[in-house]
Amino acid sequence: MNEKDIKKLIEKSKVNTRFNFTDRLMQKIETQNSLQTSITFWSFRQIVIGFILVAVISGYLIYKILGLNISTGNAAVPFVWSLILLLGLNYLLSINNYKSFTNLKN
Amino acid sequence: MDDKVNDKDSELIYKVQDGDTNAFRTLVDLYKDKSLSLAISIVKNESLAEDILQDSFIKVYRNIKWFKYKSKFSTWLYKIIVNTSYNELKRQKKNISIEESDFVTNLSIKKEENPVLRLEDQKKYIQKAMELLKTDEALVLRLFYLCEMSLKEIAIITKFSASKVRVDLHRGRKNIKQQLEQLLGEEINHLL
Repeated sequence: MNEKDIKKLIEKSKVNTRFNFTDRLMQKIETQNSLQTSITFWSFRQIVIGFILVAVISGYLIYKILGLNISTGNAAVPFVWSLILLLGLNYLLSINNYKSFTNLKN
Repeated sequence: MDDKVNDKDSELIYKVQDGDTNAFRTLVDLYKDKSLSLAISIVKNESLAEDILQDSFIKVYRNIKWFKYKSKFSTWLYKIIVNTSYNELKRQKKNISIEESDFVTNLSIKKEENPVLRLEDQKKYIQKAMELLKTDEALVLRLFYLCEMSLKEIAIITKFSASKVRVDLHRGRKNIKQQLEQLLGEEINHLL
């Protein structure tokens, strides 16, 4: 059996997909697309709202519940804490996205 | 020929990256049958292979915006399909053994009545013979002859060493002939 014969032979081993394969696939993609667009994580607006919320809650806890007597200069503490927390969460999400991308990158 | 295919692929990929789903549909239609054959080489089950193919094409669609033309699109696509198929095979082996192949059911073709095999019957015998080959050999044979990948590209897609690719290709050629001789005897000549 020469190369040409083997090639012809292997070409005959091709298996065809079912007739509606592409339609089913595209339908699945469209469904997933509509789900994805309805959930958007970490938009600028959400980051700002998140930052303010965490800062206010931290500030409240520090000044009222714990009753700590922090001088005016330290008022920035809850704000810095909020920023670090949100940046950390954002970093974790970026790492996760990057990992899933590197698994597929060409 | 290859350049022409690449040009057509690139044009379609640009369109998909711009959000054109019809271009993606065309891309799927171009590659779906060869891709299914590759997945079947690994999992040896047609319906499971179709599920793998659906998942793989969804991965491709989601990540095509990151495709930077460092390799041919077909190399990237086949790599995803081969990875997904091997992962699924591992997962299946952990749970239960895969059921017997469902895509080549029976080969009760009466040879006496059909001295020359019809094309459909020829295909069934060849698919059966491919199914009986070792997974790696069947995969390398199909990548080389059906998908027209080079040895280097096959090594990238499968993550096999260059020497393993050469050995599998050599053994695959020898074994497919043996399997067909066992299935068909002298009638193997009608296949060629």
